[in-house]
Amino acid sequence: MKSISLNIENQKVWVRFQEIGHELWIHFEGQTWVEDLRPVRSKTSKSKKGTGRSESLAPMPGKILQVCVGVGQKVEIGNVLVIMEAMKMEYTLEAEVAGIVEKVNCKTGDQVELGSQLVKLKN
Amino acid sequence: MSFEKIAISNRGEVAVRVIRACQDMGLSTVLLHSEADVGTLAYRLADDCMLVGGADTRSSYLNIENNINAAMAAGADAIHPGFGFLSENAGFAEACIAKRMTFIGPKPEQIRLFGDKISAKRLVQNAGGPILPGYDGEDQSIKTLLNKIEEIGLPVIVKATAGGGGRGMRVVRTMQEAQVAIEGAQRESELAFGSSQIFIEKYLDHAKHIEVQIFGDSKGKIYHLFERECSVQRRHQKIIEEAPAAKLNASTRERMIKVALEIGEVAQYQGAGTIEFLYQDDEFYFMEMNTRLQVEHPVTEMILGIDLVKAQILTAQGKSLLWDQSDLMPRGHSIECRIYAENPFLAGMPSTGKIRALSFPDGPFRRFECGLEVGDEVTAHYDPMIAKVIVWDESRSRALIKMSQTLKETIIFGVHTNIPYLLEILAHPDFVDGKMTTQFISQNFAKGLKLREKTDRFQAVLSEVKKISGGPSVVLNQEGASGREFPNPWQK
Repeated sequence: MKSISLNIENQKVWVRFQEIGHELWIHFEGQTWVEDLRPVRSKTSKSKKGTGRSESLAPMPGKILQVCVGVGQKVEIGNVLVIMEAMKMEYTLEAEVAGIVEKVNCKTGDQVELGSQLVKLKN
Repeated sequence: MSFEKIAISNRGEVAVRVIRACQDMGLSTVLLHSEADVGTLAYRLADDCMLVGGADTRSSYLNIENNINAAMAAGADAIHPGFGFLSENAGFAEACIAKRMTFIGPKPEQIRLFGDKISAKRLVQNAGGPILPGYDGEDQSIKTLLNKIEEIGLPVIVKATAGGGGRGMRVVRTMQEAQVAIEGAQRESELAFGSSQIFIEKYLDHAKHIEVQIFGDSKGKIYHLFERECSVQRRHQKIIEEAPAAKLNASTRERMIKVALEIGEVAQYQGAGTIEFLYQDDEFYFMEMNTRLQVEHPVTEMILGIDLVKAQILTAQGKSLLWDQSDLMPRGHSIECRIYAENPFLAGMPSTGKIRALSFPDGPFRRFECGLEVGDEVTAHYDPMIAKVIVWDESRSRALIKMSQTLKETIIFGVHTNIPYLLEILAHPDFVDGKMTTQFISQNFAKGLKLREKTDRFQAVLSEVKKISGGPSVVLNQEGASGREFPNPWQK
């Protein structure tokens, strides 16, 4: 547990917090809060320009639960490409650019390694 | 006689409590524990440990044979049963004695006597103590029952003689509904318990739960240790207790204490016992006598400066106590809050998990009874009470403030707790005024607390904390840098 003194709106606030798995437990001013750190599945974001990667790489070793696109399919930014599982948690990998699916290198049930290319998009 | 080794047939914070008393008295301890309690704080503290069964209480904490055999194998001179489990099981007490171990508690016949509601009531009646007006006669004709209800005075509660657990029970508030209620209770009782016999008791719908602590020493002298109030309860589970009672006039206190002493003397009671009363409209009525140490014993210890567990151990050894009735003068006020592993924003849904952080804010006259340390697991096998917070101060209002302060700074990470619930109760006007009755929770907090909104302040704190803690480990929607760079999910 970490203990820090913050300045919020010109007031000193004593905060104790700790990351526990995918949760952030925070205690301040007599209350305990639990924040889920997992990213909320974002809707197609129009504000995002095509600055993202055109490859979807496995961010950790895990198992593929579902492949949501097929070769030749047109995708927008934010469309879900692959859903995988690691450490009993689900992760959705979304398209960071708009484009067409060029390669799909995995299928449901596959065990993948950190960094392996799961889906390749063509802008 | 002097003990050398005491076996504790219990778990959690009470096991720790008893071990601490034994340590202070130079006695060695052996913990009689279940599989699920291997490696808990009590397990680590005890000098010796004996496994008595599986996680299921019936195979372990409620298993007389296993506990007796384990205590004997460990060479224990005596067994302290704590509270709950076998603490009020006369058979267990007898088995201890049969195997030449001392049972730290009253005599088996006293456990039996007060364990039976009917014999307990008779004893109290004979001792001149007030019992709830009622009728429990053989004549079950509807005419008689209705007459009795009028005699007793509405409201009344109709209960199954053979039963319990709330079945075969009806509250009657008007004579119009009386017959239907009686017949309904009789039918339910027949179905559930095989007997339609019912009894009637006056129903107290705005009573306070006030109990008197008594103690019988090894020489047969009965002491009283004043009273406690435990009106804040949810479905008969106590949540907050205090000593002395929040609002009790001196003469009623005197009368209650007198009755309690009389009961103790008539029974020739030995050890710690608590007589529970219901108090309404300046009248009080005997409910039951508990022949064991109670969870809320600390508030009594705090106002009197005594140690009840040590008193139990001294008495069991035939030794004199360290107090005299004349020097037991209560001072100030003490409050205890029970911390339960539950989510008050989800109607008290139990919470399980590993304790990741545990911090109690120490200060003058703040006391913490906890059976867990960081890394210990809160499981669904047992009672979800994980700790007790007790404070003492020179007045009730000061004790209240101190309790709120203490709870606000108590940090438990890893499981949700009822602390927000306790804080709301402590701030409620009926509690602050001391007017609360046993209906307090059902009237004001039946469904727990409303879901909390994430305030702006929280968001501000959260964003600062995230910066400092390095942010979440994996952000998959991040507009990432080019190239084969991805965050390591296991990086702190």
